[in-house]
Amino acid sequence: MLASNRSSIHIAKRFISISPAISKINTINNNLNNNSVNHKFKFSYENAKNKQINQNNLSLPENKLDFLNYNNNSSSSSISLLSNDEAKLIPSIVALHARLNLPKNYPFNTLVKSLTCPTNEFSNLSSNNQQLSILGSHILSFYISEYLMTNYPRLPISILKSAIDSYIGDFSLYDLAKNNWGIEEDLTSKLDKYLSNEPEIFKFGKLRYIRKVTNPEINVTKYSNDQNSNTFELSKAEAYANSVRSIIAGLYIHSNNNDLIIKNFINNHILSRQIDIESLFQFKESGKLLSKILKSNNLQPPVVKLISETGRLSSTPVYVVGCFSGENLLSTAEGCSLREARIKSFNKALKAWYLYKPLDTKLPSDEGFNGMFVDQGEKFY
Amino acid sequence: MVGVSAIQQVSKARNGLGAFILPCKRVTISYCNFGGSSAGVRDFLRLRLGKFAQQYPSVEFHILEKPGKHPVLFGNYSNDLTKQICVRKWNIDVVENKLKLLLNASGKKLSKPKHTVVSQNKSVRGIWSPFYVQPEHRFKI
Repeated sequence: MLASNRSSIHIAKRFISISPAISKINTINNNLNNNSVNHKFKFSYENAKNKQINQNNLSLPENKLDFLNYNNNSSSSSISLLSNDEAKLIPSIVALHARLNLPKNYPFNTLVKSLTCPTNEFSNLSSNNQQLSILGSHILSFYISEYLMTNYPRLPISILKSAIDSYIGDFSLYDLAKNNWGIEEDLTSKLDKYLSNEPEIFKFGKLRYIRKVTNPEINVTKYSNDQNSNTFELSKAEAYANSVRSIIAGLYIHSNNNDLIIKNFINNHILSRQIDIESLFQFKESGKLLSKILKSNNLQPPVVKLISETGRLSSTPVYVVGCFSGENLLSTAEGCSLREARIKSFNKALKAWYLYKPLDTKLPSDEGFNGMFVDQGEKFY
Repeated sequence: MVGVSAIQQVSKARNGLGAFILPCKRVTISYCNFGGSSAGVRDFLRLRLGKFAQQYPSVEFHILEKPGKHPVLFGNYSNDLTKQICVRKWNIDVVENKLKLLLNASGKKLSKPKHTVVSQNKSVRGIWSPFYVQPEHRFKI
């Protein structure tokens, strides 16, 4: 049914591009200039820097909806960074392969590519990790958001985003790559390498990128003879994080459609890290928010009652209060003043609501997943 | 969302909870090809290093010839620290044991633990409160 429909769909030639972001001015100019069909295209996954591909370098499938068979020859025709046999000679690459316990069919030169950030020398798309890191970041955000959404279905969107970021943000992945996986950056100059008798090839075992200088020293002017170099500048954390993302993308590519490999890898290396979701919250006017939530769930408005107190007239009084909704105790909190204890009890009640965690959750990517409870969210917004 | 804002956080490593990665990432063995103090290390390099290095695929082994110097074992760790052990005049067995010592180390500086339990987690029990005591048993001023 679907196949027959596909063949009958007619697509105008102007709209072949996968990305809607194709610039209209360019195509119009092309048409005016040479009257030919040499359109420029932009793959949406290529990069975000509006890099366009000439149609000559693009092999299009007969069926325009056959998205897997769009090929970009401009990058695949060029030589790759190092061959697998050459990469096998680099001790740090072999060690990293063993440290990460990667499958045997994971080629060593993919690791080399993952550690190569775009520079002037390696600006070719096939020789640096730019595209791999984009794929990797999508894979990571899929598995992490899936885990968080099923385990904490009531998290507000701002907290969810922040939690995802604390798992797979630049700084977390930087910490993982540097302090766990032991990836090193290439800091030595060519002269140092020559003097230490290090083989030329060994530099490929380290992370190479153009360092972004945000605060140059006083009275020092930044000099660069190539204006292009600015586009490749990365901060340290970004460069490390991109290498992690690329390694994960490489694992995905070489896993032969076995999602379990990539899922276990992410579970073992990234989801096993600790974040404290409770401390991500920062409430403003928590009492109002709590009463809104209670009202929308047809519960009685919150009432704060004093449970016990000590030293009211001393310099360090302590009050213990409970937040009640009718008969139900929502939370208890202690504070040095009645006001503090009251606000704390609201915050605790809100956290108890938002951090609801269902037992025995199954992720959508698990086998035997039968749907899940999805909260209705805050209707009042 | 109105009323709720998020505080940024960076996840903390828990090595060994999911995957365990050896903190030692590189071992450098420096030796002299002539000096008598390097005899044990030379024996080790000749007789045992091949098999020994195969047991630790996740560690780089660097061999460094330093003529006229005593032999030293260096361990580089993923927390950017380096440990070194001088093995002058030691025989092959001691050299192997010292290497194992470096490989099994966490890379942290040696220190006397002040607490019996070290944990990243908050206490499950919470801090002590006077209100845990029954009102009739509380101390009265």
